[in-house]
Amino acid sequence: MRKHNSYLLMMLLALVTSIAATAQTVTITGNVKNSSNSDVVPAVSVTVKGSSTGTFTDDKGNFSLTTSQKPPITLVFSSIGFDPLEVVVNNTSEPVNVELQPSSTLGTEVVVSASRVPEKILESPVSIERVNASAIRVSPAASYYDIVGSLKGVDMVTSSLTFKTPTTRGFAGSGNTRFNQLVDGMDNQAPGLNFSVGAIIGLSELDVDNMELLPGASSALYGPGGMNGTLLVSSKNPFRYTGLSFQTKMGVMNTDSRYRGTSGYHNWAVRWAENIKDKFAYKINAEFVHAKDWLAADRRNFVGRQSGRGLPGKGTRETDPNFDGINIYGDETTIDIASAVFPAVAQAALFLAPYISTLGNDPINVSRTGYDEADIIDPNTLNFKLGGALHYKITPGLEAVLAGSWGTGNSVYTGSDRYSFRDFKMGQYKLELNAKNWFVRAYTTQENAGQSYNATVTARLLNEAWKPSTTWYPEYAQTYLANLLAGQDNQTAHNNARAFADRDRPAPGSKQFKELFDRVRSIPISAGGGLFIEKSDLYFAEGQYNLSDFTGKVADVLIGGNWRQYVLNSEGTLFADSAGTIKINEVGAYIQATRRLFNDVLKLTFAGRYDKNENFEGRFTPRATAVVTVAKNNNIRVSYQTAYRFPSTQQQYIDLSVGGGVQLIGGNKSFQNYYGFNTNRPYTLTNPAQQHVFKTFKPESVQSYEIGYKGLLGNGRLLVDAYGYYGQYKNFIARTLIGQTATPGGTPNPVTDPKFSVPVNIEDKVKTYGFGLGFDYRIVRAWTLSMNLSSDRLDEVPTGYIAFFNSPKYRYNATLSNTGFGTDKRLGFSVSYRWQDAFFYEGDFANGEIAAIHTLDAQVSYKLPKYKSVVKLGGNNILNQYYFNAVGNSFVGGLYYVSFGYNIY
Amino acid sequence: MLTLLKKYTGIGLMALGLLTQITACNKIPEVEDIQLNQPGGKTILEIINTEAKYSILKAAVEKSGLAPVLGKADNNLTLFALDNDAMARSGISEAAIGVMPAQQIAAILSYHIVPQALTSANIPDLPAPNFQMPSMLQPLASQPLFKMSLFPSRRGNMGFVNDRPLTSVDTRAANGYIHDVYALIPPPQATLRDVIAAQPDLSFLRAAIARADEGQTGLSRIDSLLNYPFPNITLFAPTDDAFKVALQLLGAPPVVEAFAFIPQETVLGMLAYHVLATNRTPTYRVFTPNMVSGPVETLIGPAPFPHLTIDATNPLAPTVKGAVNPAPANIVEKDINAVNGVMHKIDQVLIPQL
Repeated sequence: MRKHNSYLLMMLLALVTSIAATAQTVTITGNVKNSSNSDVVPAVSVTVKGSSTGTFTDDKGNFSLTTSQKPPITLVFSSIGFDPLEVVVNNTSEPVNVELQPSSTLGTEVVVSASRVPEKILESPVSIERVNASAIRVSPAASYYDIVGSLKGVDMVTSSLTFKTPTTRGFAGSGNTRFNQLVDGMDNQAPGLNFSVGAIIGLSELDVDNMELLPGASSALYGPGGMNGTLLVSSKNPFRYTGLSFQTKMGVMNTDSRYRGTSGYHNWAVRWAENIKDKFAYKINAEFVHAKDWLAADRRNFVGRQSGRGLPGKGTRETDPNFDGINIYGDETTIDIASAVFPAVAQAALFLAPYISTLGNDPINVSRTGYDEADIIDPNTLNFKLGGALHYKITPGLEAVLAGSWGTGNSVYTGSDRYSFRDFKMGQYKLELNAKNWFVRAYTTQENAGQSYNATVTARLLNEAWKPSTTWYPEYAQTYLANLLAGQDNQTAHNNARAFADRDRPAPGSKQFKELFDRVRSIPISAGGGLFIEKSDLYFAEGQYNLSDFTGKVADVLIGGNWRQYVLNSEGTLFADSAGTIKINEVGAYIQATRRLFNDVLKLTFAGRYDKNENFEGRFTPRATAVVTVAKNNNIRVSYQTAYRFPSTQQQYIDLSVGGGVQLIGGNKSFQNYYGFNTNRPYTLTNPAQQHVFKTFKPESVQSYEIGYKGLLGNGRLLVDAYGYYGQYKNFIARTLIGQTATPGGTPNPVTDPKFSVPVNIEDKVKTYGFGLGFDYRIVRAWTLSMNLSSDRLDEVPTGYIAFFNSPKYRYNATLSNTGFGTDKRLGFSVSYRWQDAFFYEGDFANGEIAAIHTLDAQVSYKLPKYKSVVKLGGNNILNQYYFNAVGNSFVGGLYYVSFGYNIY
Repeated sequence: MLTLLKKYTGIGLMALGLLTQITACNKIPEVEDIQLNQPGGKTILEIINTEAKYSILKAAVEKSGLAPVLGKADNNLTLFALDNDAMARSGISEAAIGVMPAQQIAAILSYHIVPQALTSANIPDLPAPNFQMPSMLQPLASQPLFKMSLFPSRRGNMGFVNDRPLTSVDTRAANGYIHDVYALIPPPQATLRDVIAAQPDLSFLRAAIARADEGQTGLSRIDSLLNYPFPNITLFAPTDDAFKVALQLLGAPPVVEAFAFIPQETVLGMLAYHVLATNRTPTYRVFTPNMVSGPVETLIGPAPFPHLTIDATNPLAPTVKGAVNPAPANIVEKDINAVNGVMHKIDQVLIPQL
């Protein structure tokens, strides 16, 4: 079938190409090998010097190039990790067989994202980190996305095995709305959540060409959102990377059965790409991951949740009647039986009234019995990704791309709660035209949360569905009193009361439990269940033009613009969209001018961007950078950057009852009329005498100043990168509680009045500063030692201010690797160590101290050149030292795997 | 190959050695439990077991099986303790304990324990007559919230429980307090109805109740009210002799059959005038030590309905006077405690109006 299709395509293409191929041409063929081990080298760019004619070697290292030039012809061979080579061909009838020398010089890579034009990484005007395909090949990480976490200045928040959220410069959290992630130019945020879902949706590991990370503020080029960094992931072009590749990883996790029984880890990936006459190319990718997830098993008591500032404290289910375990769900339901149940008992049994009065006026708070995460959240992590692209060169300089990627799976994410993503689906589809100086691109993101549910809400409702609190608490309170009256001590009385009220509680895993659970989780949150419906979409179109050909004499100028539309659709369950979808339009435009001065010693760039969201005032974000070349390959960079983000779609339009008489609402103006705030002014809950003042809801913003140095020392063997920054954040978006009296002008009663949680901007400014220092040292040819140290700090925090900074003061990474040693240099290895300091974590779900984390990752690989294959034995956190990097998140242990890869480049 | 292996093994081991040096253990914070404050000092049981004055009580506790409750350091109890003198006053010797059934001892002792730590200061003083507290004596197995109540009270420095004076108060134990009581507090055995039924000198009262209840149903029947286990009734019960005098005063013969000729309303009103109430509800169980000189409301109703007047000038022999009665009635037998109230036999029928 495939063959049949490709014939058809080739015939079509032959027709097209034959029109152009009227001139006299010659065809040069040849093969490229690695000089150090004689392995074939695929995906080497082979171009005719001084022309746009070029091709790539295939998966056997062979190339075939047709040109109208006459011999002698100079061919330029280049590939990342090899020294470029020029070969003069006199006789075109003989094959050109060349050997490329692996590069011993560092810092030769080219980056695109720092200025939206290709430039040497050494000359990048802002800090940038790059991970290329060869780094992915040698990394011990089980998933390419994990590598981001070992980059300088990066904090990774691990919600679960497949849901990881990177950030830089502090403010880490799972589901980071201040960090942009672009995959092949597409913003891969979930439109209803406003943050990227990591690598659940996106590229398959075999298709990743490179990842570029811009730490810190980066709105000036990439638009709103990138306050704390932007990650750009690029896939492999099917013209260059062809043939069949596959990789299978078989591993084990939870090996010590400490939190969950020993379980397997499976990852299968396959990629197929074909380049047809350098005119048409296509690729298909699939990746499937299956494992039993890490368990979030923090059983500590979360004390003070109601105050909004809970902390892990003492007590267990057996010693605290109001126990509320961090990763135990359903025990968030709590009431004071002294005020809620005892009066009724005293009224019904007057003879007990004086006795009840001796129990005192202090509240006797009792929580319902919860269920463990293991009981509530499906441990099966599944992730299936499918991607494909069609590339067609309309002319040698103009390429059309039609691409799509689709993913589905189960995962767990921590936001204001633990959410089980079940059958979550997201697809991104793109059409793009690329020319030398311009591109236009349009894409859409289609999201469907599937059967995802909120663990706490579902467990609480499960309890209610089994036995309503209106029954459970009186049973509890009466048994408690009866036990006290029988001379039991207080704690025993509580425990006996719980045992009685819970006497026929469905056991986790039982038929009754499953039935109740499935019923509750399939009812939308808005209808009193745990399911959240989310089918929001995003539409995006953009274009860019490089005017340098016209303006080059004065400056290199780049202009671009985009349009973005969110279409929120929760069927009235999450957003205020019961009357129909909500559309939010945003437009933006940018311009960048670069000028080189003093014989290229100084490069100045100014960029500015203007964005207008229909719900907010327009924002201008400027950026200015300077790069000074102090010596060859030694550059000092200075930058001023700004960034901001519009409030997330949820912060604008959410309309959700979260229990306790509180309605979580967005900051959009439409809520003013809807809830009658303009006629019946709400009051602040902390001071009911005071009216709440609705101020203009504004985007958050940051200004950042940075100085850095990047240079090559020691004959190109030592690459040093250092930076220091200072940033100032303002208008942080937080939430506050307000109450509304039953009638306008009524007396506030915070207990019974309806309450609203509304987003507000915090006017106080927050300052951050920090530095990073990294070394990459090529010890001898194949040996590399990389180390980096970074620090982020928060300063001048107003008292009582919760900044969610969530960053350790220091973190440190070291990697020692060898890409080839032993017989025929077939062996390779890599060992990585990471340490991060202890810090205090603040989150919507839980707060608390995070201990220092040490992890050790390692891999050993063996090449089978005859079969173009690599066998790898790898491990993450190989000492199996469990850790968690945010309170309430999964406890991550050791993951050990064996992988077999075929034709991996 | 071997040399290669040796070379790289060496490097590998060195690297591993280095790495283990820097890799310390990650910490998963352990669940911390609440350290309960175990109160120091002796438990009630230990005090009973060690103090000589409680030797008979010690024997009783041992036999009753209540020792584990009294010896639990972290519960809260109040024991109205009988020292050897009190035991003697109540006619109980160590030998008697030996022959009494354990269950009976347990029931009696349970009626001396309140499942809450109460100091004398916790017991409200006037104007409340007393403070109803559950004992640990549970009459019905199916009703764990229903216990026989004790009625501690305080008159300034003088403490009582039911009608018994306390001889010593506030002995602190790890698990509560001990107050010594003058004599055994007999647990109530029956409701007021059954108590009345068993008294040979209250046949006129029974006849009066029967007359008043004619045609009545439910709790409107005095008979039912007196048998309902939960309220606190204070009943002044005129003896047969008192009724005979009263009947003659009304011009009727001094026989029980005479009630049939007196209007039902009159009998009902007269009986209601013998039960203390607050807003027509029997609320307090007033033992003689709880009586205070002055007017008291009855079931007839609050003012302007006629009240009773108590004279407790002599606390050991208080009197009660009806509105019409020319002289106060004497209490001839006091503080008969029932499940649902207390009864004081009096030598006059109290007359509210003519």
